Amino acid sequence: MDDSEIIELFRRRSEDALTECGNRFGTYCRTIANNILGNVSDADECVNETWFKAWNAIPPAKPERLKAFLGKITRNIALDRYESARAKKRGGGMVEIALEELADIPAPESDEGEITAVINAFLRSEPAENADIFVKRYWYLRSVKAIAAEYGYNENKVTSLLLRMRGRLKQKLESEGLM
Amino acid sequence: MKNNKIFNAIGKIDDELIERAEEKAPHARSLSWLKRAVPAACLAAVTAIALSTTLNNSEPLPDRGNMTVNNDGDTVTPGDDMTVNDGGDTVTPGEPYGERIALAGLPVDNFSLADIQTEGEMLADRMACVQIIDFFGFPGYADMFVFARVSGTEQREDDVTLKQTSSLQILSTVWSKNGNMPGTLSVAQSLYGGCMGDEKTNMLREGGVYFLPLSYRENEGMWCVAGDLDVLFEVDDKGLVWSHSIYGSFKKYDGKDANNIAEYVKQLTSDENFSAANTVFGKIAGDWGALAEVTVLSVNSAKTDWGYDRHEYTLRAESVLSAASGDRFPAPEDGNSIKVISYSSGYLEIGGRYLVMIDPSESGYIEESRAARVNGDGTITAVAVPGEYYTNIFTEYNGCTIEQMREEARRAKAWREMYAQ
Repeated sequence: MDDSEIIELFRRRSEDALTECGNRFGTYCRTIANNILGNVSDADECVNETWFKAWNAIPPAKPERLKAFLGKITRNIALDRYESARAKKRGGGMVEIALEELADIPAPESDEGEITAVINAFLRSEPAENADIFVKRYWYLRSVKAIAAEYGYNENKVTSLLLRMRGRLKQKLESEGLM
Repeated sequence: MKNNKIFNAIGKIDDELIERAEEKAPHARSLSWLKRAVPAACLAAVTAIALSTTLNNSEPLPDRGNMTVNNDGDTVTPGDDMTVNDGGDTVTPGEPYGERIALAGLPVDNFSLADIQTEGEMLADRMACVQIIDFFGFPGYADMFVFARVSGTEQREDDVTLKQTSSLQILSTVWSKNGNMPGTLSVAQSLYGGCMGDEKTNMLREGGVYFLPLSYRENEGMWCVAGDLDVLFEVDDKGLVWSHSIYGSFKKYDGKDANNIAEYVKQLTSDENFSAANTVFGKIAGDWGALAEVTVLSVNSAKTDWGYDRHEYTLRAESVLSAASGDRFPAPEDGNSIKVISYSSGYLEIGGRYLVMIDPSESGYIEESRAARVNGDGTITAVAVPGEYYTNIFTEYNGCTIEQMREEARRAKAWREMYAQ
């Protein structure tokens, strides 16, 4: 079953859409949530909430990329939960470490939409593998160790690659006048 | 947080970048897996090339990649006389299922898949395949049924679960959606699956013989065993089949000649109504909602609590062509006014006559991808559907008459009623 067929199920208000999402994207979304929260049980709840939000969003939303659409919902839910758990001094995953790394880049003055546009352009200007590693680290919040294992690199190589990319991103933001 | 602004902005990057990063990962892993599996892959490739002159009648599999991988992990383009799947395996043509065949696998324990799943809750959080027809379309989506022997297995851990890739030698193809009959295939399974990814499945065993519904996952570029959380037809050393299922429609084949179930699949796929029942239109007409010729009387539009536009149409049912069995939805009757809702507007004109599929959701739901205008000469024309991801289920019936549509719906329903168990 492809994306369009699942979206058709949503549009028909068929609960089968949720089942299909679970079959197709359950593991994917669970991994995203687990990377952020570091807790399988909380991750499961995030995934359930993802299906609920998708159900309410489609229709009228017509996502062209269902996987990323669901992944974004999961990520946002998990980050909200992470914030809540952090306020209660419990839980945690990769978020804090990723934020430490991103602290290399001073907070721009511009709004997030403009910053996102520059980041999109920056990632497209990088070699595909670099961009993918950056997205894995800061969007999927995968650990450096896991990324290194996936690409067959040592952790130092991934760490230094990310460091250099953050430097280039900072330069890009500066050259675009955002900081 | 230290730098929320950058972090939040990264959270909104383009979907394409998000998906691409994720898709690259398994590719990278599969290359390293293939390098480790050099001896087997090499032997298979060399054998296939050596045999290639006799394999000119092989047909390409649907939407396959057109490259395979050599011993160095490089991609190479195959010759015209063999095909490959996305796993990089050579695919040679197999045999169609004709008469009953002799089969012998491994000794089989008669256990139930429910016994090994999370607290035995097979139906807790998902739709299950509970009968053979469930493999045609939702939820099984099988592309072929085959008898196959597992010639090798390879397991690897990913972030979440153990995954197994099994090399299959296809002994006989009982049914193939696109007519392809491969001789070998690689199929993937996950130890855990289901809605929450926490239900355990049963992996194929090396040396085992199975009757398998296989489906091709376009998105992941791999073959998988359809419905393997619910049923796994394993052929024992005496040629008897064991479903490992809790469902009666599968269990009834347990301990019997494996050819019995193959013959049943052969029968229902060669039924004269099979093609009508297994289009998108046929699947809906067969067991979902109502198909009616209607005149649009009025529409009222309002915002929902979620801020979406919701349109309530009042329709006069001129003629009800078909209605699903059961009491999901009170089917309209000829001449009655009915109210239905839609989240799209502009595709129905007040006073216009249409053929619509009325979904039982929300006490009657319609949409543009399930609507066709009825022309003055009694033929239908599917209404336009915006966006590349949507197609109208009536498009392939443009120019057909209402009576022809009634007949198509009847055939779809007849097939379902004949083979639903």
